[in-house]
Amino acid sequence: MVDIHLETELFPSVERSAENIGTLAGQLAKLLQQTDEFQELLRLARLVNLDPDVNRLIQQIRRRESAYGGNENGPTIEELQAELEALPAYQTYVKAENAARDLFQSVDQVISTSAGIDFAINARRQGCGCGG
Amino acid sequence: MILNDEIQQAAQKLGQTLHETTDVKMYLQAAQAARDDPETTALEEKLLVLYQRLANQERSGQALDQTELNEYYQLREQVRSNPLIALRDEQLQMVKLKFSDAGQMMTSVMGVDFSALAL
Repeated sequence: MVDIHLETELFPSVERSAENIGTLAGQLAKLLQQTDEFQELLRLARLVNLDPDVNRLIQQIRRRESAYGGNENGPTIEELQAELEALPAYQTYVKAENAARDLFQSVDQVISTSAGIDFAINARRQGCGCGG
Repeated sequence: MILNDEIQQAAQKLGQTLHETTDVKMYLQAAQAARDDPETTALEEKLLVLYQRLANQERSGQALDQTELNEYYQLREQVRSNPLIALRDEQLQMVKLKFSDAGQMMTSVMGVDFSALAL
């Protein structure tokens, strides 16, 4: 026979654990949001999104990569990519993204060491595996 | 990169809390049990070596030998049906669900995919 006392003790503790993880993850995210690296990434992401040259080149690269754009005349994906990477606005954005990546990787290392298992790689959202 | 104390502590606390969950504990036990079994480790090692050899052959444009391919599929089946590996992989899926929820929470607060940028 199930002890009703044990049951009520067990389930709230499971819920508390999940809630606690969510709260701790949220708190860590708020601290990361306040860092210079993150603020700079947001600022430059907004700027780069407004840059007409960056947008034009990204659109062209996407069109080339699509099934319909592969046979068009004009610059190749490599040429378009090189043109994009030469733009100062894009270069500044990539630098900020790398700085934020360094920060996130260091945080991931601390979480993983404490957890005893790699965090970020196992936290990635998984697809359905149906090839879609 | 050196983290500030507040971030360091918050990351450690999240990691420790994850470590204390049943899912992570069971995964670590299952992974240890698989590592401790010589037959299991030998089987996985054999599959990895064969996979790398076939992948290298394919990369260099060589035709793949059907006998080796059959051996690979047989080995893969043996690995999948090994109870220690199956238990470890099953537990890992549970860990991934838990970690993915935590990562999703971070992403929803920041508006940036933490796990994608941390890799």
